[in-house]
Amino acid sequence: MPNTIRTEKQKLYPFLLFLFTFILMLVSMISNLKWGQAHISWRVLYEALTYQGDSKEHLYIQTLRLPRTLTAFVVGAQLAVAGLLTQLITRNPLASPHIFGINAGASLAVVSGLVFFAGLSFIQSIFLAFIGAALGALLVWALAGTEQKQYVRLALAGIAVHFLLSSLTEGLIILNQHATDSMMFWLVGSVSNAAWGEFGAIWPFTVFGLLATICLLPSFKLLLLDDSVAAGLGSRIHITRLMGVLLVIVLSGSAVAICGPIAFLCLIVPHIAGSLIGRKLPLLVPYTALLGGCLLIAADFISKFIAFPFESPVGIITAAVGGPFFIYLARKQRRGR
Amino acid sequence: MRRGIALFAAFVLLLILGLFSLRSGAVTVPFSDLWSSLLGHDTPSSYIVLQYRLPRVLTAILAGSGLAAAGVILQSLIRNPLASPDVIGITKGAGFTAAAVIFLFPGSPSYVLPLAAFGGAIAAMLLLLLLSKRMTLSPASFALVGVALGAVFQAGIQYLLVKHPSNINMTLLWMSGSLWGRGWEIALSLLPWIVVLLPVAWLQYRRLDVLQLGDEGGTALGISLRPARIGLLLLAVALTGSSVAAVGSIGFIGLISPHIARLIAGGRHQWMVPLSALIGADLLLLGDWLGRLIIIPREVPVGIMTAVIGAPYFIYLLRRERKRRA
Repeated sequence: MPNTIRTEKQKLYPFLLFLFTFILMLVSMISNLKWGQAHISWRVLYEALTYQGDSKEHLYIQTLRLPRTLTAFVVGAQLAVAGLLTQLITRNPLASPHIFGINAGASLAVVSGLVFFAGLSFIQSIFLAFIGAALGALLVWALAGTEQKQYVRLALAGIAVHFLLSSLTEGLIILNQHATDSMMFWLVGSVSNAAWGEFGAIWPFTVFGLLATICLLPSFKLLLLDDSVAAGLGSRIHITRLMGVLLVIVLSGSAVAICGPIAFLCLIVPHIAGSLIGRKLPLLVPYTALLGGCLLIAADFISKFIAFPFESPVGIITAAVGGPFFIYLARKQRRGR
Repeated sequence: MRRGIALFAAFVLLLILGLFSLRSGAVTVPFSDLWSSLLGHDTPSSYIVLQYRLPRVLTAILAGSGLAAAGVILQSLIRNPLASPDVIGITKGAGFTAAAVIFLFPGSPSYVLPLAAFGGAIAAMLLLLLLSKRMTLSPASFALVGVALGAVFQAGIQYLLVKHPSNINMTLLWMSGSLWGRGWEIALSLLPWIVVLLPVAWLQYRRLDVLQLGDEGGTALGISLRPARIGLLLLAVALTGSSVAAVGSIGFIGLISPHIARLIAGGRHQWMVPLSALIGADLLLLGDWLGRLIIIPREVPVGIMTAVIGAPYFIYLLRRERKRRA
């Protein structure tokens, strides 16, 4: 009898967790819509969301806050899944696209695009970001190699590439002094400028990336095993890995092109999700996406208020929270060489 | 013998680069004028040479050698060829306090900025010590803690940048490192630090050799690891802090100079410390010289130039090392 209760509980637990996170997401979404620089009453909020009325306040909600919140959700989900994939591929708990120079590569490409070719469309800058992200990944791979269990070597190589690429980006910005402000904002990672255009450009990539990840889940499962074991089971480990890297580039590249390199979100969300729901991939991947979106909306909400009435980029919040978390993880990794 | 020649060659290169840096810039000074200005005769260009270019060259040499020596110490300490003052967050700590001074106390006199940067480097090191359980962590975890610390300081810098958009260019210039407008007071305030600390670093060469062997080897050879590590870390922070205070957070010098030195002179620190100090000075001078020449009359900040010169070479070196090990 107690046994059956426990299995029932086990089945129920993930469901409750999803429900709870979903409610959390709704709450942060609504508060993000309700509070901000302009005062909006509940009534107006309801009217705006159901598209009745067209006063200034309604327009605030419909054209500024709603796309911004949705973009935050989508970008958060993308970055979190990209982080999870990176950790799976490299089998390195400290891995993330941010630390691996992928984000820095994407931002270098986007900034040089903005500097050298004026008037880029979103799609063009997204593709530039893909190229940059691939470049960053390639550099790190060239530096660190693909040997197994080279946790620290990989992390240090990633950070070296990150420094190189971001110093080049800084150089470009210094030499082109116009439009420094908005570029700085973007460079730290911010969703505050996202309008329907941005959202429209990014959501296809989200859907594609997440669907592809879920379709490839059976192959990714084998990445949890040792290389030799996986090869013994008949998995083409290199192809799986390559697909994973491409997915990471698509997910985080498009996120960076729209919102800038938002720090550390991709690192911490997979860990939190993993400790809450366990390491079973079919549950972990959707939960990571949900949690990532939820946390980025919450961080965006906080970022509106740390220097009220001025906006601050959300990347500052994620770095300030994620940095200490990374320290905690690094201290746990005692035995790593 | 070969090492002696390498040391000598690096020194000669330093002199040549120094001369070229003195000569060229927005105004080119002919060599004849250069000589007589340096010897103290009055020429039309002696003001430029003595008041602008000479202190700038001197600062470049001092800061370059300081950063490179700090890099040697840290690479031996962390036992990882990818360690450097930027990677473990010390430069970012210095950058954060410097940015705080620029933005929060805009009217403060010029000597405050280097002092603040130095304080930031020290603060970053104290935090690092605290978080790494007073150096009982393995060198690898230590490096990762440093990386994260650097990221948190970076977030602080970015917060300041975004909140005070009017001074962004000055801060960006400072953060990527520049020798622009470095006069005698900066050169002279850096001089005693480097002159004292470099020989001290050189005298530690035995410890550096032993630490590279690993914990067991060090203990077996009778070195108490923790005091040695803390002392060396302090040395590296002092070298980095004073250099960064003078020139801003220039990257890659501390990372690649030790590699080049190791390639030429082998892994013994008796030779590596002086050689990489000289190479660091060479690189910084070269970067500054090129940065001034590329788009006259504007300047590419030297930090960008060192990244552009240094990074491809660094990647080449690492690939080579990997192949040799495989």
